[in-house]
Amino acid sequence: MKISLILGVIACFSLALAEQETLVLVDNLNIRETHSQFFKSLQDRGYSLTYKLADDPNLVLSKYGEYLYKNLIVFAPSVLEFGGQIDTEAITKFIDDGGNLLMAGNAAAGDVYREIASECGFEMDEESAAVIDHFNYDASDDGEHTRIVVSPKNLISSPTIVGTQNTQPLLFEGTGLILDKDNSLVLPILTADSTAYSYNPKSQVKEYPHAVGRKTVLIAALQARNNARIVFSGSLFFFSDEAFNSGVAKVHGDKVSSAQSGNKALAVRLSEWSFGERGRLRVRNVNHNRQGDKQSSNTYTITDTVVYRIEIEELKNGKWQPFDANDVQLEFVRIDPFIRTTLKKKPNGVYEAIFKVPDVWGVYQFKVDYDRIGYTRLYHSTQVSVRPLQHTQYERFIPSAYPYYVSAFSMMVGVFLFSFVFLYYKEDSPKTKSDDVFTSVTVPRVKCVVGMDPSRRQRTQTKATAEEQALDQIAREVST
Amino acid sequence: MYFHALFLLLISALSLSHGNTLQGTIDLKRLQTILQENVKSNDITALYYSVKGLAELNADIPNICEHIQNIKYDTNNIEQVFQLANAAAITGCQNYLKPEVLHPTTQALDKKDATIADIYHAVYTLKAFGKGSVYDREDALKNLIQMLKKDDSPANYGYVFALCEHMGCGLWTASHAEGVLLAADESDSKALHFEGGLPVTSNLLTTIQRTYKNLKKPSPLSDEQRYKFAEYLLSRRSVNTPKGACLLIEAATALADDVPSPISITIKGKKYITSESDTIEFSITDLIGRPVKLLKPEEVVAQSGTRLADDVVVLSKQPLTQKPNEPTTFVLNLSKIKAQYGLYKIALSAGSKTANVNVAVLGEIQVSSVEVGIGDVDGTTSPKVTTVTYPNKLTEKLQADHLQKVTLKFSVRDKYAKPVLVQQAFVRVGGAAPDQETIFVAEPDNAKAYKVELNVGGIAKHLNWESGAYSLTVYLGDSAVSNPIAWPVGSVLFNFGKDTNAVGSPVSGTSLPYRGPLPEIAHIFRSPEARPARVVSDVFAAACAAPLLLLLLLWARLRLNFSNFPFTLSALLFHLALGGSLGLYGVLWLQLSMFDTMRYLLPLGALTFLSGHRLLRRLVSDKQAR
Repeated sequence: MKISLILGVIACFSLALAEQETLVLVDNLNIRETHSQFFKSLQDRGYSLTYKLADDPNLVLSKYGEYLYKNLIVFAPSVLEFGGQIDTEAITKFIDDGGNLLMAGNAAAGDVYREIASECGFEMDEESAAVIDHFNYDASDDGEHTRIVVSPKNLISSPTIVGTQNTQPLLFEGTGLILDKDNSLVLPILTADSTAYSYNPKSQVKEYPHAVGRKTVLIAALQARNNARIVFSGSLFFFSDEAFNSGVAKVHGDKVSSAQSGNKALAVRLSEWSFGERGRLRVRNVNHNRQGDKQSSNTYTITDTVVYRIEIEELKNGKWQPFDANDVQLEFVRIDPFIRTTLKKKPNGVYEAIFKVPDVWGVYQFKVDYDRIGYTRLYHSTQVSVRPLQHTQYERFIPSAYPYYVSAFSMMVGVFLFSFVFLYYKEDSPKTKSDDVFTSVTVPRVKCVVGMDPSRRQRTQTKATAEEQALDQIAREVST
Repeated sequence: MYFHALFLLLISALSLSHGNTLQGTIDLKRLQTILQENVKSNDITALYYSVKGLAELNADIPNICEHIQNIKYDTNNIEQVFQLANAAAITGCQNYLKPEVLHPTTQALDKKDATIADIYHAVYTLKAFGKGSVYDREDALKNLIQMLKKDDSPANYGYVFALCEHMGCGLWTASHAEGVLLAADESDSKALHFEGGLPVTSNLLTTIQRTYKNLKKPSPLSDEQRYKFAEYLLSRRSVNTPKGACLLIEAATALADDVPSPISITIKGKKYITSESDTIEFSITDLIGRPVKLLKPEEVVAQSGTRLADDVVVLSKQPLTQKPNEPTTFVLNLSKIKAQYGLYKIALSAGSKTANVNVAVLGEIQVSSVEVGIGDVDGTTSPKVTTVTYPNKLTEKLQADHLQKVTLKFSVRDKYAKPVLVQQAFVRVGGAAPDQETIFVAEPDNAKAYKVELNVGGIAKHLNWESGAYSLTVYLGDSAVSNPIAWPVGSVLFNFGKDTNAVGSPVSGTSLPYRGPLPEIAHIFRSPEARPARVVSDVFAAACAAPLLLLLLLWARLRLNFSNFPFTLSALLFHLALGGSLGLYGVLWLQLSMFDTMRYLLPLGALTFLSGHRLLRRLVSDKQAR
């Protein structure tokens, strides 16, 4: 008993730990110290960081098909090729299998970076190209105007990813990205100003720069369909202690200055988002029933009123808590949505919709597809069939159909009465009676003749034998 | 006209492999504040290092004896005991601690599998209480060497060296220090540190330095090693913990006290200067910001200065002047090259050390006017040119359709009205939405005049084929320009034509799927068919009922009789059942379902059949009987 309890506790812990296992690939172990504040913030939140040199020949991401790490941080811009079993393909597979990636480069980042970036839908500028902004550079810049000051207004408007308290200007020094337009999953987290461009700072602009103006993305993110998250920063400096601690003083323009850059707050928020501490949703419970019923049903009749409830939870501070939003929508779909309605928020993360099933029968789905920037995509569908009315469910007493009802019933009454008339009517004048003996003998044969059709009778008359003619004679007598 | 000054910006010296200098100093003041904040920490480690660091800085340590007395720590952890004992020793609070505190030390020393770290902590704990255990020195050292053989990490060497200091076997340290120093890890071929990071590096550097000082030997560190260790310490200058701060202070002081001390050359104060003071101030110090010993002011010389673009030498052997009352500050006058802006490399030497410093001479640029020309694409008509002078805006609203092109021509001049090239000469075409923009690069011709041609039909695809007013902004910037210019020239009405709009409109829709609430859809139910008025149906219902009444009337006139009715069970049953069946239809109409009706109808039907059969047979036989 005790042992199993302990084992259970250990299992729980190891499960929790597995979520937090993080591999940090660095150029040199010095990065661990120059970026210590960032790493410390991760450790304080319970991540166990494993630092490895990016070209360590013993690098492995998975063992026996199980990933050793849930998250991967690559802070190794100068790496030419990863060591061990890690390469672009392995990292792509890691992402495909749900791993999270935080990657930061700089102007000197090599082709490995470019490959990984393009796998994720970003495009990184050529080697030695850096984002230059002659209008918004920091006083600590080295003279090439590559240490740029970016206003927090250029952040993506998604509190889930970047938080709400980004008011300090940000320092950035590194290369620019552009996003694949056709990739709907990539997000520009931080973009440069109109005056910025990405080019080699040492040469004259001869070709059209890789990224210009607002299209220059400084930090990009991607949430894959399997909810793996990737944050790709063009700047490793962005995460450094130096950037965290230093003040900001813009040389030109509106002379923005601040005692401390907003890098730390943003870097921490980004790591929280990318490692799934934030913006994770799950469906806890779904039920639907006819209004007034207690039991859930999977068959509805057209024009029924249906109550649909879905309970959604969000991971907050490591705990699943009721999710709070007012734009969760339900679709009632038969190939195309017939009904799309916004669910009403009820207490405890329950969202409810009450609606009338369409008057078209078929196989439908209740579908909740909550896809918002920064949140995991929430998709839930339940199939139900909608059938037509039963014959008893139609309207019975239609005023305009009364002529028909009356006709039918008058007919029935008529038949009933007629049955008496037909069976029991007795004529007043008694008719003449034929010979009793004869009649009694010939009855069967008479019946036979009576049933004969006229044409046959015609024929028999022409081919009549004497006997038959005699019988006819009798029959005629009987019928009259 | 907008021409004030030339700016100088020094790019910090890039270390080259030989004769390099440092690019920064360790700010002891900042570290001291960290220590002072933590001196009353409830964590024994933070407290110990704060006290130790403050002692190293000779700073005031508040009286924290009572705090030490009450602090919580793990009595079995020899390291924490060591920290407690030493914190007490530094602050002179040994008397506040109970003698039991020392129990773990004897345990640690008696333990068979004690590590070197344990021994170090135990011995120094005892030492803090003045109980410096007298060992058999030779034997102890032998034991330690045996243990080192098992695990010869730099950390262990550090502890052994420290123990040696206590035991007086400094000579052994001296014989091994160089070997240990060679085992330091190098990162980026720039910095040296020991495996284990700052604690080990700091411990080894301080211990070795102290030992050699006591032995009155010159430091075993080579010049290169000294710079590389200093470089490493500089990379750690942003430490935030008292432990890091203390270790950094110790190591930096040890290195700075070493002779000759590493030299740091940095720009002092603001990084650019105005023409009123066309000089740059350098701060030449040792690692912790003190004046460099043995450096004479006349030894600080700018050896040479070359322009990076064409390798022209612009200055040589220009001495720097020391600022009065500030022994660390040296001033370089660069008024000679202030007119030729660009990047310069200056070799600055301080004593025997030379640092290559990249200097950018910044100049102001000006743009007097821009010519906005609108003409046909095929060039059949001469373009209509509007000239706008800086910083005005277009007064009239210009229009251009898809068969025309807009040309912007301007030239960028320096202070002396000489045309120059800049890195960034862009024209931004911005739409109504802040994010809707397209930027075009202006290209210079041989006369350094910039020109952008906007072919209205051609740029339509960048602007989503949305005709309307677009603003034109000229951006001029360069790394050697002190006044980047962003000049909103005005707006132009682009008309992309109807055809292109039609073709383009589907493309122009947002290419990314919208991620947000979608419009609601409500199902439209089939409306019930129109029905006649109630009166009409009632009249017709009556009309339908009329024939039955007529029948009854006529029958009545015929004077019907049911004289043949046989009062038998079967006759009664037959009519009851038949009537029941017909009545059932009425009930079906009123409430029953089809299946219920069938259920009731089946027995009724059977009854009708049987009784009817019987009745009819009887009727026939009756008739025959007559």
